[in-house]
Amino acid sequence: MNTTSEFQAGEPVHINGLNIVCNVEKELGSGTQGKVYSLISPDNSPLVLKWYFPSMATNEQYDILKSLIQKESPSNGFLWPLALVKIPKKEGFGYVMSMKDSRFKSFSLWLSRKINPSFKTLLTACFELVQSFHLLHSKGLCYQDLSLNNIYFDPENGEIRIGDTDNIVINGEDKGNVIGTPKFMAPEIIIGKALPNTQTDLYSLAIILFYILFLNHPLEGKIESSIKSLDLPSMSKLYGFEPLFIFDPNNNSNYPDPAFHANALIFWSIYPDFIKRIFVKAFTDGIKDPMHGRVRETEWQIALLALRDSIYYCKHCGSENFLVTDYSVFEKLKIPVELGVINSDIKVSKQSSIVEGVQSNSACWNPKCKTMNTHILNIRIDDRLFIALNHDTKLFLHHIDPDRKYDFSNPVAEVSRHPTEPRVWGLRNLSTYPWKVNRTNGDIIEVNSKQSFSLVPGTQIDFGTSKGMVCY
Amino acid sequence: MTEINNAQVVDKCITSNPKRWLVCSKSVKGALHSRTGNSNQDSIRWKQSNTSNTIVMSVADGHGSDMHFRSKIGSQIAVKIAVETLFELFHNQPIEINNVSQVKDIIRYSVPRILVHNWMDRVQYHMEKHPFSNNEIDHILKKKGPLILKKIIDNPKIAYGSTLLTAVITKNYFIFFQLGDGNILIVDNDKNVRNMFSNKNGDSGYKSSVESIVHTESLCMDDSWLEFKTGIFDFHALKPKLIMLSTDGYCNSFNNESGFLKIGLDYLALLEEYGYSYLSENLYDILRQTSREGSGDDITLGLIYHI
Repeated sequence: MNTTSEFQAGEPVHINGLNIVCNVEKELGSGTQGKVYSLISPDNSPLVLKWYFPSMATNEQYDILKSLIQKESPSNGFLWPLALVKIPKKEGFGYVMSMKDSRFKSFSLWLSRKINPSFKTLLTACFELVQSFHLLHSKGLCYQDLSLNNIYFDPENGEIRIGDTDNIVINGEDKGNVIGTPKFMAPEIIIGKALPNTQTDLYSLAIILFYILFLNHPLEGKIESSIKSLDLPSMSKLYGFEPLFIFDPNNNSNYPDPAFHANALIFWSIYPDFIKRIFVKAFTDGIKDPMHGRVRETEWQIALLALRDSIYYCKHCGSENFLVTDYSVFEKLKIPVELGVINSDIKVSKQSSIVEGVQSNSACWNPKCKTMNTHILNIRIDDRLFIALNHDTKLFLHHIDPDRKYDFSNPVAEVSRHPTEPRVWGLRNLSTYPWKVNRTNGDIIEVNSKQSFSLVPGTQIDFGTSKGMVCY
Repeated sequence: MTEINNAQVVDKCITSNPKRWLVCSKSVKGALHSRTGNSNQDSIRWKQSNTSNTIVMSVADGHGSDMHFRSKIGSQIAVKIAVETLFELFHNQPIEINNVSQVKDIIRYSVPRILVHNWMDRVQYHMEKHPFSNNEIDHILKKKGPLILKKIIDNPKIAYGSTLLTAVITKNYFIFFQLGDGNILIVDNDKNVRNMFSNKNGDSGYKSSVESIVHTESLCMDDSWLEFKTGIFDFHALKPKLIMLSTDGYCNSFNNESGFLKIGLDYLALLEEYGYSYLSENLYDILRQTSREGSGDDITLGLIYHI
């Protein structure tokens, strides 16, 4: 090898920060910033080395890495730099981080439909992503360069990993080699009015969430498909100077072009109105007023979990559908309900009778099925949450204890089938505390750990920290 | 600017940029097509700047089967729009260290869609100027039946189906796009040969006797932009000595991928030992012989050599 910025297989790498010596296993890839190598470590922990090309090995990058290594990773989701590496007679520097497990896949596989994760998985990934960024921002850090290229997810369970963490800086510090990428960049950065900060991260996050849930960029509609030649000015106009949401309720001039943006139209017709309203806010107010109009992490977290809890399986084809609730629930969830009218031609139809505020007889979205699903069992908790009850539903402390929001560490209840009467479903207590269950005939029974009660509409449950009612 | 269009593909087309790169290309009609009287369905086109190091080379392979009866035109349109669109983008907007992150996503997500979009527009324009003739319709009806005929009439772009491979060379970066079969090979300074978007997980030796029924990805497929493979590399990431773009007729002339990859070293040796004039003069015969002894398919090869 004639250059001194590359590594050969077997070459030793002294990682002083971790007090170990590894050996280069092989080159994993290269790109625009540097090369990445897998390492053989003394304790077999999976580590990789990123070594910058000489032109990218700047003092500024070195300082950023040094500062990140001193801080702890905000969550397991980040592939965080663990130690800086400098090697005598090697040009530049690099850093070591944990290797991403092979179960984590690029979202581009989902965009091209090479994999087909469930809505539940996608919503879990979206929630985890928002949660990770909430933790990052609450540490005063800003990612700067968020795009679909640096996030990965496990298509089986929605767990996420966030790579390219070497551009993370302290919010407000104008450091770093990157200012984001136009498709994911906040308009105020593109037009030169701001540098990356946590508010611009929030905008990029909204773009990512829209991409994952609608398989389309939120600003790529008819205006994008009318562009014949690509250049940065036309991109700057589309994403920066004249950004217009494809489902802007007050301006349909950038509505999706069915030939190029069919996914956006399909998914817009599948999701319930409340999540669409959040996206309308993100790409109308969020564009007009970067400081106050953006959807915050907590708003996304509440809405994404509400959407995940509303999933039920079509009785005929098994497709995942979303149970629609009335506005009163969202008011309590603090999800805005009046953010303009969703375009009437694609508004989700509401044809059902309302039982305790939950509409439960919508047609399955699957075009080959369209079965009307009625009487979907669900549980409402303190008028605060509702959860569709499926054969695989589990409740967590997040659901029953208002002081333990987002605690999904251990299930406290699960839907279970009666051991001898398979048509009878129950809810099993997986917690260590007894529940008081008020049956529809007026009996009050105690349901201890590992015991179940029958899911009969009208049954009320006192979980101790909250009260629930079975509805349909 | 130096621009070569596919009307000249069977002629010698070689130029030199005194700064860094030599370009050479050739396309030969497959031995099988010669026997059956079919025309060469491949196209190649490239454009090189006289003022900068920007080179865009594009190769396309029209599917050539009965259903894709205008695929020669489809492949010609493909290379033309790819070279025009990408040259305009990368020549006029050079990628530098300070903006590479800005164009990464454009390359990955926007360029494929605009290539497909522009291809579809030109195909539609061609259709309007040249609607399907009675001869073409009768031929499809006879060969494929009324259902396929209806499918093509409802969606005429099927008749123009083609693959598309493109390499863009700029001062500091290399960008590659591939939709469908074909190969982009890179031979680096250390004589390592890299198949840019190899479909194979490992070289499994000899080909299976059962052909895969999965057809190649094509510009005529719905949402085909999602199937593009793209790559952007810093000069140091590749250190290329020779970049080669070829249609799958070349790779299919070999029993396995490793056999095919050796051509990278063979061409480099030819260029280094005998010079590009020699290669240019003999490339047609080399490709013709490969087709005759190998796949029998059309073969197109574009070479970009770093001097």
